[in-house]
Amino acid sequence: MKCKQVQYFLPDYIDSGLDNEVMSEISLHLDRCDECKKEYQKYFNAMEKVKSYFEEKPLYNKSVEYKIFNNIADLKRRTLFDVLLKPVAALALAVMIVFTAVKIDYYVKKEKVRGMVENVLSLNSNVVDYIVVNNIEDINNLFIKKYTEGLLNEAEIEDALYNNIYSSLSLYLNIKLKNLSETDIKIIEDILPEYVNKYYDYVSENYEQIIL
Amino acid sequence: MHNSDEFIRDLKLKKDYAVKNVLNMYNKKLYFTAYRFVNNRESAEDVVQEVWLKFFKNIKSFRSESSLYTYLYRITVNESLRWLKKNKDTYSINDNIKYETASGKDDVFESLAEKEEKNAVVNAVTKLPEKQKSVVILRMENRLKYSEIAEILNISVNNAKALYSYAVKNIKKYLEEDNLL
Repeated sequence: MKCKQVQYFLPDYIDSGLDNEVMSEISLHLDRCDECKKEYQKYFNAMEKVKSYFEEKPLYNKSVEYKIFNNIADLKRRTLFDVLLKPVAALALAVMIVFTAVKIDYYVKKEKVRGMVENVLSLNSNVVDYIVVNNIEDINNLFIKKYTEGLLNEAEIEDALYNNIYSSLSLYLNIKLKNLSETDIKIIEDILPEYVNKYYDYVSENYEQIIL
Repeated sequence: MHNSDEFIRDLKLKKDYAVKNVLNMYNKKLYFTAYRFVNNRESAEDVVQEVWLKFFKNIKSFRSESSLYTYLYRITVNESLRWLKKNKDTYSINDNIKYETASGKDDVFESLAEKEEKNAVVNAVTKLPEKQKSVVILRMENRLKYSEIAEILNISVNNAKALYSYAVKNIKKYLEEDNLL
């Protein structure tokens, strides 16, 4: 083996990482070659220094293990949350968002329909005329009944008048507002009583005047 | 014994006894390994904490057939190298790494020459390219076989041997430059 080859293998030789045959060949060479022996000594010294550096261990703080153990326990809790509670929480949030969106949507629609209804049904003589003209007989009969029978059937009479006005306003709206959707109709059902009450009061208070 | 299916199963479930056991078995070794990369006790502790978090987060994908310590060493090497990359601006090898008295014993009695020599060795290992450094640390600190190192670093056994050989040549060169040989 030539010096160049021997020196190439020196790191492995020091680590005893070569075949037995090559190991002994290098040993023989080192015995009789000063230059390679010198080079070997350098490798040997270098690795001795590295070895002693690795033999000296840094201070180890055992309490770190407890800290890590607690971190893992947290992780375990978080995993449980992820697996069990997170989907539930996410679903609840989704439901809430959808519910709120639907609610907001309904509110916006309701305001729109209310505007439309207000345009048509704001207390005005056209509507009063419509109610009275279309129900003159019924209203007359009801008021006659009210005056003749007195307080006896007052509640019944009031209900009848209320229903009368309710259906009149419904019809009037149907004539004035076209292309109402199902949601619109539902909204109208919601807000119509407010207008029925207004017209009921108006008609009751001004009946005689109107009739005359 | 720790690779038994039952133990791995309990580890995956993060059962207290299994977690304690695995920490007791490996934490110190992983800490020493990380320390050789980052040369600082506090940073080594940070790296190892990260190693365990990664290990337990990904433990479901851990295949029992690959051995536990190989898997742990692999994460430790990767995390240490990641730390070095992340801190390369603040951590410069030319910046005279302050070598901590590893044993914790009072270093008042160490001569200046001894300290300088230690610094030179730390510098020499630190200056090595990533792969060479990893092989040297796994070989010298953990006394692992080339076959184990190869598995950890996902390289061939011959490649591991060659990397070690280059590393030794480089270390000798660096120490020669420091007039220590």
